[in-house]
Amino acid sequence: MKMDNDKRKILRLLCFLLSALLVTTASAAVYNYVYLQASPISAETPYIKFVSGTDANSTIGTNGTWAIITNMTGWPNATRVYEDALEIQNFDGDPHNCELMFDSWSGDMSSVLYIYVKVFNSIGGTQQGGTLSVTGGNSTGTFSLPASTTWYLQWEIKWDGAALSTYKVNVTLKLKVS
Amino acid sequence: MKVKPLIATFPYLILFVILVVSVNGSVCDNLNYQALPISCETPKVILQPGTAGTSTIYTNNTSAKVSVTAPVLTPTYYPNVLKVVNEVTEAWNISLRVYDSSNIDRLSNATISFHDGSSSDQIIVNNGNITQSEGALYNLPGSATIYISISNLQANTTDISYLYVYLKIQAPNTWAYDLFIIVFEIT
Repeated sequence: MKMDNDKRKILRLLCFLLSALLVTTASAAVYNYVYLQASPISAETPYIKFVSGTDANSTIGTNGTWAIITNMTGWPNATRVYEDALEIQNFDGDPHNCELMFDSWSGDMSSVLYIYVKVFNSIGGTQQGGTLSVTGGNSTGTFSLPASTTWYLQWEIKWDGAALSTYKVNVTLKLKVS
Repeated sequence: MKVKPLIATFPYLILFVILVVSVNGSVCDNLNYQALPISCETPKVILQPGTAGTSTIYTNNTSAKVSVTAPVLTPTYYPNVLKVVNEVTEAWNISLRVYDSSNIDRLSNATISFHDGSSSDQIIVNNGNITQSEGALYNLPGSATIYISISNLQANTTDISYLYVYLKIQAPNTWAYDLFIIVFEIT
């Protein structure tokens, strides 16, 4: 009799454990799908583009959304100024907020006294926004580029007096457009 | 009793505001822009000492200090305080521009000029005032040397004055240029 009772208890315990396992498994499997669609995500014509300047050679990427200036130089202990190194053009009928930001630089950085980038509304005109210092790693702050307008990026470069003619730096900036 | 439902909705309200602000703040495009490389090169135009006054030329010959004396009684002419030497065959346009000064009041007259046969007055001080702070562009031919002179130099007291000047060197048909610093120390 006692054995029967024990077996019954063990069976009950097994049933309980099995039920618990089932409940646990079922609990872990209870979730809901909520659908989110982005339709369509379309490519649109950029309304802000880079355009080559007259002072420096530049490669402009497809659609004008990236640019590389390839031939800027400077003399040691003298300030080199490129008033029209590159241009940014608003092709839209509305103004857009822009901010030119430092991203990264590399090379013989310790021999650079400063590299400044400024935005002007015309060559030799009025500066728009603040001065981006590559050595300081800051930005121009936000400026509003008017509709159907071209503004000019001026670079100012100064190597220290001991810099050699083999020295080079690479600079990457980004233009935030909203 | 009515306050509780309002309190319960408050966190949802905050969440909604955060979501709206986040969505508004994140709509932008980033356009990449590189300068590869920016290199240092040997100067194509340099400064060299003149034969009048005392001149100090600094490293790489791209900046200088000129020391001259302004007499109280008689105007003095320093024909060649500094030389601007073109080391290459391409021509440049050059000019002088004052960017700072000190104790100019004591100077009765001073005229700083370029000359190499023809001449161009670049900076003029008259009765303690800088009446011309920037000169016209002057042609520096390929492989040529031009001279910087100071004429009519006269002071009304003995003291020391400074003119801090940029020598602008611009290649023809471009907006790019170099700036050399020249300090004129006038005792």
